[in-house]
Amino acid sequence: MKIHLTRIQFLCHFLCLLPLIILVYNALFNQLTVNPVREIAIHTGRTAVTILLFSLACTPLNNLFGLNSFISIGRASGLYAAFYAMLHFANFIGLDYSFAWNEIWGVIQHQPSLIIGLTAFLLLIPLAVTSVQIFQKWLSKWWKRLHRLVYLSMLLAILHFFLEVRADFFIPKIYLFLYCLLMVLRIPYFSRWKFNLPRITDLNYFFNEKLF
Amino acid sequence: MKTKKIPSSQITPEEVYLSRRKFIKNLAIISAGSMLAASCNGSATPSTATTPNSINSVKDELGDPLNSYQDITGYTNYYEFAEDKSSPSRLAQGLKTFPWSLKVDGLVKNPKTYFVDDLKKLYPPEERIYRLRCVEAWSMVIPWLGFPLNKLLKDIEPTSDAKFVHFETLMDPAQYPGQGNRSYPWPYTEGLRLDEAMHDLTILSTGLYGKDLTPQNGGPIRLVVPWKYGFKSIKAIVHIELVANQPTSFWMNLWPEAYGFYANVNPEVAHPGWSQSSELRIGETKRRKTLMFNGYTDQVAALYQGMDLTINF
Repeated sequence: MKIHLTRIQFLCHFLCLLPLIILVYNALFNQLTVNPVREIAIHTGRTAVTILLFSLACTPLNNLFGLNSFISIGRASGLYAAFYAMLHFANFIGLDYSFAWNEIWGVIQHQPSLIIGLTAFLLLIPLAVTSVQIFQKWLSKWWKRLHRLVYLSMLLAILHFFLEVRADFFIPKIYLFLYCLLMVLRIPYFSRWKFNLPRITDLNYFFNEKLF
Repeated sequence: MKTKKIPSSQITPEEVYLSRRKFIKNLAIISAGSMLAASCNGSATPSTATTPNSINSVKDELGDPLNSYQDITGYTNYYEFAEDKSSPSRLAQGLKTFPWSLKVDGLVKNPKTYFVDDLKKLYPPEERIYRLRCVEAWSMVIPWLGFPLNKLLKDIEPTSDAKFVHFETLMDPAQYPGQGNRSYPWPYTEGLRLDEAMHDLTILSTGLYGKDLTPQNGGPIRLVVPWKYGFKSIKAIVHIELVANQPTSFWMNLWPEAYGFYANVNPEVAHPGWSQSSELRIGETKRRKTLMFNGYTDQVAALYQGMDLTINF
């Protein structure tokens, strides 16, 4: 099987793998402080939320500005978000709580912030599994309905982000603002908005060109 | 209200203390010698501070070993410098900690301004090995040098109206880049009830591991209240004021639902984001149970008799 990648797809894979490369580099070169579990939690959590928000922006970017090249990376970026959420969760149960299930369960059931985060992650699993094309055909119109769950997952993830910081709400506030903006853009009246950017066809042509 | 005395095991054994003094003395002689030698070469290098190794055999009264000097000085929360834990060690090196004056006033009979060096002469620092439990659910065991705050308070004589003690960190955005971030209510402030401030475990610290307190750890002078979350132990203090009403602290201002006035270490009361029932001792891989009042229940529980600590968190 031959894999073809367009420029924008390559860029997407590179940027989405970069946080993992940085994490592995920091782990190998002792840059994760004396409390690596906390560093990993912050790094993977922020990355997951950021990439998921970006994946939600792909369709509106096409609707608004005609950036059709971004359509081709929505799915991949969504999967990367699920991957980092999985690392974040694995860090919590494995490195942080050493798979002590009783303790983990005890902590989660008394901590709404953790239930919210866990739900956000669990919602992404069926979406990741059904993201392959076979399911898309098989589920037809239900596929689209199912995948609307990503908006709920995103909202819960941002809420979780708000609750997990010390008191520095600046970044979660920005994320919530962007999320609300994306929601507004889904209202039919706004989704018909169009902005003509100069040389958009050139840009799409550049991004959609096959690298190999 | 009567509080229990500190167990003798908490006080460094004399022979260890003396051997440590001897070690430091020898160290001074060696470094003076090496400085002399260095000055002969024309390049006077300052003697690099090394950890007195005799201290590493000392444990806290619960039998847990001290954290290393590197861990304690390399992993700190200091939002005036940065929001991560590694950069304060680098950024704090420029902090001008000498001369440093500390103003003590408010509802007192003898308001005074002290230089930290004079304070050290007035109240000779003693070693206190305390657990520090961060609200972020990690902890360390730290050998502080300091003196009980009550010694200072007795000398300045609070009036009968004084009920609380208010503490303030230096406000200087030129030295503290983080203070340029207007989303925080600078300067950093903290508060204690007067009886908490008078408690014998409450110290003003000027040293760490037998040396001067490093700027990233709150040098030249900081508060240490070992039964409360670390953020109560305010760093780089310039002003202590005795007041009548309960003061509002930096973190209370930011998020009152998460950070209360008392901030006693309490495994039963969670932060909105995480459980406080367990913690990671830096240097270990498995979490350990968090102890009520950070393990100082015998000494401090009497301060809170009859109070609902889930409301007064």
